[in-house]
Amino acid sequence: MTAIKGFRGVTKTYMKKAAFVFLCVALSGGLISCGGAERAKVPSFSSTRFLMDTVVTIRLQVIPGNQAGRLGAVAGGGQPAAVPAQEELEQLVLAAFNRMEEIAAKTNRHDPGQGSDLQRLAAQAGDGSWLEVSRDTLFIQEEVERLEQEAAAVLPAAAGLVDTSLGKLIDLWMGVRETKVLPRQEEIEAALALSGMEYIERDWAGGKMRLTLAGMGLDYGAVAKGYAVEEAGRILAQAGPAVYGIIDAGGNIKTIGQKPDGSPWQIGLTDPLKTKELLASIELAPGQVAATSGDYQRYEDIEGRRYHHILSPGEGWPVWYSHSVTAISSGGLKADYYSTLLFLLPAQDALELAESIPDLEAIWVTASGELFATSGIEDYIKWQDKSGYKLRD
Amino acid sequence: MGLGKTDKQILAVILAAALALLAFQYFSGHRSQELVLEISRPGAERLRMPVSSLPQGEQGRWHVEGAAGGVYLSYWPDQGVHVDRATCPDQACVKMGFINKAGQSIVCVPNEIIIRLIALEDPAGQGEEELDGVLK
Repeated sequence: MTAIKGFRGVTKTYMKKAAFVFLCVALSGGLISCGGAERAKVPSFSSTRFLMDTVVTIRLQVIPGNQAGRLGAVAGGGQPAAVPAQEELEQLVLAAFNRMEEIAAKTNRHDPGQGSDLQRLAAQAGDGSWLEVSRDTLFIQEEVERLEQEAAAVLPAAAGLVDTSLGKLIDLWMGVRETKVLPRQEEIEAALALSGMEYIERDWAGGKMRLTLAGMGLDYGAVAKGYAVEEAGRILAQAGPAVYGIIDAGGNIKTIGQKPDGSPWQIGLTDPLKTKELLASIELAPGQVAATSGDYQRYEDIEGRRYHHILSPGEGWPVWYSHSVTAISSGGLKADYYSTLLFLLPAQDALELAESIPDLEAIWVTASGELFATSGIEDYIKWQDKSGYKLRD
Repeated sequence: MGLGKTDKQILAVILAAALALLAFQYFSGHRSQELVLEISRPGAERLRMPVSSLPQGEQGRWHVEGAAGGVYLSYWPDQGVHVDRATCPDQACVKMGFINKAGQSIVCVPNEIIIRLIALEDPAGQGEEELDGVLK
């Protein structure tokens, strides 16, 4: 009753004012505005484009004034951060999109008449000639081989699993999604015979590549989008610490900067079995990329089995260890690469590999419905309590 | 300086209203679903953005590229999402007005764009955080 006594001690006028203030505070959850305070106008720009067979949105916004000054002071040694104007934000977003489209144009395989690096390399495969290709194409190939060495040093079985030479096999399975008829084993073996990373030769200094096996073709589908997101992020980072935003490319998301309230970025994970529902949310730090490989993204159900797009380079068939694997890293290409590699490995092997790789966290939804993650991210996941799944102890 | 009967009644009404609103906010904060804007185009992997993360108002208007040039979308928290402007001649998508409930959609045929709202069950909906994106 102490509180009541104290309450009786105030004057009626003060009490009414206090009650009004209290009511306003209670109402201030968004239903009614007490003061009609206008939202401060800050530079902001969002744009959506269709590229790499994906809807991609980039959002960028200046952190409202006081926070920008605070962040700028931290980042700039006491000097306020330069705050980009509206036009500068728009130019950065457009430049980021243009960079993504540039990479898409060099690495696509199916747009007629484009003459992309990969199309030209396939057309001249086996004839011995070197072709001038872009630095992007060279870099992607080199980085895939570097990441493969990194993974194989920990787990030898990881060697050759993310194979950029599977163009013919991927074409075969793309046809399956149209005809809904499974390929014959001899078709798969014929496509596999036209693959092999050992037939890819690079000349970084000369800016050239060639394929030494006639009929083969490259496919960068496992990593090109991750690389494009990384490159777009590099451009957007020029906006400085007074800006935050996100690159949302469906299965690849990159965060830009710190949110105004300092809270971590919250990203939802799609439930692989019920794609209209979320299975979890994860926290991302500024600058991190999350990439998901799943059996629910591109697939065809035939005779009760799901034939998806993530293929074993050894067998030529889809791999069914996991429903989805999400990889998180500071690098977009790395996150994309590892989401595919970890999907292609038995889940326990994949977990042991991921725990040994620096700047990499991962989350599994296995084929048996088991949910687990690497030790560095497991405390930052909120799992939905759903039937059909069980958390690993 | 004691409280009169009328004062007590007024105070009781204010406290009851405040408590009811707090309770409403508490329970609505524990929602189980996240309203998500989905943008899709034939042959492309669709994109899902939590409505809570969308830029707001006129200042937040954004361009969505389409087969015929595209559309401009905006989100107004009180009204929902709508197409402000489109490059197509019939402007049918603009005339569709606002969508603000799960299941509603806007279709722009010349631009081959489908915009719809869906409700995703939200494990983060513990009342603390909003989602900033959804990994497809």
